[in-house]
Amino acid sequence: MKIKTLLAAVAATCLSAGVALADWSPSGPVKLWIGFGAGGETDTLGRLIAKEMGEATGWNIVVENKPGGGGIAMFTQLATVPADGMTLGMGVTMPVLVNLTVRPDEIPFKLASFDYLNTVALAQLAIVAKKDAPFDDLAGLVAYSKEKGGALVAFDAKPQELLMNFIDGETEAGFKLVSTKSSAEELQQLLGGHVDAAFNAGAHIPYLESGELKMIASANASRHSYAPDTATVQEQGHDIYVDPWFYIAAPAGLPEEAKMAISKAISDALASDATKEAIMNTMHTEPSMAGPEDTKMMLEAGLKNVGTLFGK
Amino acid sequence: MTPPLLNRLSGLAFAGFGAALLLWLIPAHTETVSYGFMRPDTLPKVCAWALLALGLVQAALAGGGVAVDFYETGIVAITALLSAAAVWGMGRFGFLVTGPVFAAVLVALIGERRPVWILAAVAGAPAITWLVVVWLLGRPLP
Amino acid sequence: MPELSIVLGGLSDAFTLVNLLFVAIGVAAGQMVGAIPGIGPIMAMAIAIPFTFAMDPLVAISFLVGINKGGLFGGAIPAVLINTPGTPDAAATTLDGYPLARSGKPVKATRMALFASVTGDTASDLVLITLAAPLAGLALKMGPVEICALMVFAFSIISGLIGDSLVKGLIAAAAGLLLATVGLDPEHGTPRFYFGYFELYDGASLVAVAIGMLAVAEIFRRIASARRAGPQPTITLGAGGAEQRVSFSEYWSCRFAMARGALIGTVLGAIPGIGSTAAAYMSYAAAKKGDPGNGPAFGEGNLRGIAATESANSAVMGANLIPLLGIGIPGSIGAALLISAFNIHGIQPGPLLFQTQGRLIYGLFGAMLMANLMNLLIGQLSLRLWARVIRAPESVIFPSALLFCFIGVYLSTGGLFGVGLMLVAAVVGYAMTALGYPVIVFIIAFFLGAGFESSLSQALVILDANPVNLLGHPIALALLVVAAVTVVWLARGRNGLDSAGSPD
Repeated sequence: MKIKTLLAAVAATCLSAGVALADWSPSGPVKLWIGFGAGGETDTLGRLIAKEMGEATGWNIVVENKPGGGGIAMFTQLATVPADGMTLGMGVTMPVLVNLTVRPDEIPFKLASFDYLNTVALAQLAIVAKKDAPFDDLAGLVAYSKEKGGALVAFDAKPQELLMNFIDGETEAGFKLVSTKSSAEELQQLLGGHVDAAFNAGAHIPYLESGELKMIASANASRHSYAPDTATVQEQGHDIYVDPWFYIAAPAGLPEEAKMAISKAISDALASDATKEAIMNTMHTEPSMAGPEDTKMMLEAGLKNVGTLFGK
Repeated sequence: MTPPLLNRLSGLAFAGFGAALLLWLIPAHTETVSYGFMRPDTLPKVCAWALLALGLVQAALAGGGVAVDFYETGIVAITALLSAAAVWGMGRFGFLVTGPVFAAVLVALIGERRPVWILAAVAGAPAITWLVVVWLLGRPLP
Repeated sequence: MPELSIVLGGLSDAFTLVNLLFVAIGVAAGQMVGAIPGIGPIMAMAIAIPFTFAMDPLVAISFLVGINKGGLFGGAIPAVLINTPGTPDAAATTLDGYPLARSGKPVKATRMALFASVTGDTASDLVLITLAAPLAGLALKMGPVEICALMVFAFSIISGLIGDSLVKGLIAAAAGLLLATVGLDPEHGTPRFYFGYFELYDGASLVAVAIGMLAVAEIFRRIASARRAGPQPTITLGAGGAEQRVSFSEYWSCRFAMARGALIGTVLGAIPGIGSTAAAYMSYAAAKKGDPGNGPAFGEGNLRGIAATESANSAVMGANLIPLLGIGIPGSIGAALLISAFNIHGIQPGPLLFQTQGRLIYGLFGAMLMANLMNLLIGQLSLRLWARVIRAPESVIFPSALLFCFIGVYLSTGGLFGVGLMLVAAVVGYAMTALGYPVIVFIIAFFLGAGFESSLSQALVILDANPVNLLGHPIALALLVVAAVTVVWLARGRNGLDSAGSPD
């Protein structure tokens, strides 16, 4: 499993970092900015990590919500504060990468404006349909769409729309895409029979268990832990995927020892049973702590992938 | 200024705003998308045309009540400017400095002279704010 | 129906001392944050959630529900006492609450708000407890086309609040709708009108605009009048004692207003997307229209006006849990927060919730009813406290209130940008009121605008932009007809409805 190798790598980094650099500590309260409003997954996750980090390290970690543009408002501010490890920001890759791809001139920061401390988790994005839908995979959905004169598919973020457009371009399925605001709204439309298929990032799992929904594909690069038999979009013959990572960053130019100490504190917080359980419960995925180097590489690879999504 | 004149002027202001939206604001501040039933500028354009048309009607008919009190408007303008200064001050010097000063200026503007009440507004209110936000809610102040 | 033993087991879990204590703390905290403009129960819940991690699941959820319910009444306190709503959904409570307070009956008005809030809340809780599962199934039938029609219906209530000039009312509605288009567009996700401020990406903050236009504009006006008249006590209590009570016959005379409010609130709460502010105004407009006319006029201190708005906005809360507990879909931000609280305790709201967590759910129901009782008891105490606070002179109350608005909006929008936006909204709101443009209409159009644009875009995709396809959506058609009838019905009596929108 990919995650296990990641974990091993992280454990190794943590050990070496822990010995050499345990002596950095913040000179006051550390601010953890959340790029979303109160009440979302990112908010819940960030607050849990902050609480766990605070308890384990004795640092005073203060969580502040800085909503706006899926994290763009928060990262814009984060790029301007001093790189002293006293201000951190937590966001999701997709909105940031999409904006950096589509309107790079208007976004006042670049990937290099930040030092990347750690990943938190990968959101598992699925394409689902109602149990009694007359299709079980993407090929079936495409055929159904052609027959019906356009299947309705609900999405809640730009990359999902692009992924469907990509498949549409390859198959001429004629999908009709319905833009929604949240997983909950997609689920409501799907269960109510208002759309034929929908994207979802976790909220659908209980309905898979109850048998009301079935999963058509994993939109990630890998299959999902709870549904190992459902193939990814790539495996079903369309060379495209969407991987939204939750991650924590700080302004670029952080002193090396601060970077290692904070990254380790995040890893430790994620490894604690309480956080692990909470992430399982809210996100239906395991926490992942890739460490600074891999997080940076993940973002750079992600930017390239989003470029492909947009055909740039 | 008489109410009909104010009604005409406010109507013209809204019509002008609608025109500015159509000519300049909407083209400059929305992106062009080539597909879909609802484009980013669809609803803004509808609103702008409505403002333009209704504003002109308002300017022509000049109906409706107006309750302008120039003394009150003057004090409100001063209070608004002081508030804007306070926002700037909070960003620059923080709440614990700006809050009491702002409260003191407002109390002076109203004309309160009794020391107990001045103290309550200048020290009491910021202290309660601090207690609720920092101590009880655990949130930082500006 | 579930087994009796599960129901009884759940209820007995709810009525423990620890649970009682946390519900009481939650309600008290909720009333306090609700009373401070800008900070609301939503924010208090978000802050409290991580701390509930260590608690027993039922205690945690009961505590959060307590905060939410306390906030329902808390928002009405400053709305009545100083004409500035503590939460946006208490905006309509100012219309009759404040005139009553001015005439020397502030405690009476607040008490009526409390009684109506608890009544509406309890009514919708009872609907939730008895009918959650079937109603949730019905709510699912409301797809984008139906929601869009419901939005049109919600807009139609504006015609009852438009004031003395139709043209000015429509201008205010168009301007409110325009402000709602700031931020990412719902269909393509492209940014609009953000002028380089990324804080505007998700739209102009509802809290900043509502508090600015409704609360700060009023505070500005009152500072000016205090300077002119010299510092006066903010509220003069008229005759004390009996005059400040709400007698049973007075409460009973509001029964239709409250029942209508509870019904409107429950229906709108069960369907995600409309929200409690619109419910409160809708209920107010309906109560005004249906008033027998044997009391003071609406807008001049009619108890039924308070009863209608508070029962409606409180009923929304209980009903928000219908889709949450019935099918696992949150109907509001408050309900979404409860989902994340359920989640961190390892409980999946969803189709199987009643089967897998029956005992917890009935415990929650018990806790909700207990929280209503607590709201009533603690509310009685806190309104006495607030009535005392408000006897301080205006020179203390209004500068302090302005400071609270600053900090409340700073916290909920995450920066001083929101405070600046609030000030702009206050100045615009003041100018609109002075020039006779109804601020209420602007606010409702702004509140409904984002949901309207989004559901319209979805409906067009589903209908292929062909009106003939509407024939396949009978509920939507019925709603559109009701909307048209409402406009005619409300507009015909518009002369009697002036006070709601005109400047005072």
